[in-house]
Amino acid sequence: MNLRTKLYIFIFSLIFGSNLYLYCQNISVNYSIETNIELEEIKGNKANPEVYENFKSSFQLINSMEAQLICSKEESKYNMSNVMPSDVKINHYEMAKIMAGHNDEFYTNILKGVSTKYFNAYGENFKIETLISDFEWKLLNETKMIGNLKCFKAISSYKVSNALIERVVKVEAWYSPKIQFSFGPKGYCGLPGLIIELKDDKFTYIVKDIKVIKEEFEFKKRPDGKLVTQEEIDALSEKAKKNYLDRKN
Amino acid sequence: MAVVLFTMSLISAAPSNKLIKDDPSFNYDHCGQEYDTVLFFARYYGFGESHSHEMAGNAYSSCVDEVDFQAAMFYN
Repeated sequence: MNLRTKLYIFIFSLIFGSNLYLYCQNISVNYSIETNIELEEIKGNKANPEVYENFKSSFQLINSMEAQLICSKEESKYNMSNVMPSDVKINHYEMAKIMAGHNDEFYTNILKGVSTKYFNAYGENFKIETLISDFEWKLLNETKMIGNLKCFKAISSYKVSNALIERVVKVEAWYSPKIQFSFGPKGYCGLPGLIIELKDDKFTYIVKDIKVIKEEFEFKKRPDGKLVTQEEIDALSEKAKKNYLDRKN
Repeated sequence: MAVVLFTMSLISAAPSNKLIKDDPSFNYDHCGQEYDTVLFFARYYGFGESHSHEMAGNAYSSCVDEVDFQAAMFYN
């Protein structure tokens, strides 16, 4: 090998070696989940304090949870990992799982421009589709280092409504253009790089580790689910309440 | 001797001072309240409507299970 060839190899590895994730097929990303609010006691609330304490304890347990994202260049699958810490009350943990959306699975296909959430509600399987363009990301120039990755900020929002409140939730994502997979937690996608950190009104998802997967991943194996809209699911809620309360009679 | 036996039989027939605890009533009434309380908390803290109902349903089921467990413990 002559000096010129060695020089070419050196330059090649310098350019592409640092971008390991740029050219690999699939990656697996583990996210840790942190709660970013304290559930303050509701003033004037006369409910049983024990119920409030249980609710709060369950919420805190979300801090021990993790989630996994598997992605190729075109598709991704996201779901929560099943790691239950020891010495926790099982009913608190079950509640924490519901709070964190533990049973939800998100499949995203960049080429089709759709992110699909598969979930079970009231004993039935459903799916809700969201157009990737609906995320309406606003890319900002703000940067920060997360580990050794330079990340860029992007913001978006979504509307949350229930019988008590209706508000707009701000979403803040920090993505790394160095890792060219346009996916992130909970079906969030469409940014020019992997989402390293995502923050909404209650939770922050932070990349814990990234692994290269050599084998093929079958994204086409998906759960069954009836296609519905969020409004249709919300309308089923009152019916579900009646069913629950009828059980006691 | 007959007098002693007669007296003893009277003592053994006397009502005991020990309180006999009534059977507690096991019902799910408070579970319905728990459903409503958790539903209120979930809505207040900004969870979506169906998500809130799911939490409330879970709290209700846990409460029912707890009542059943307490009842089983008592009668066994």
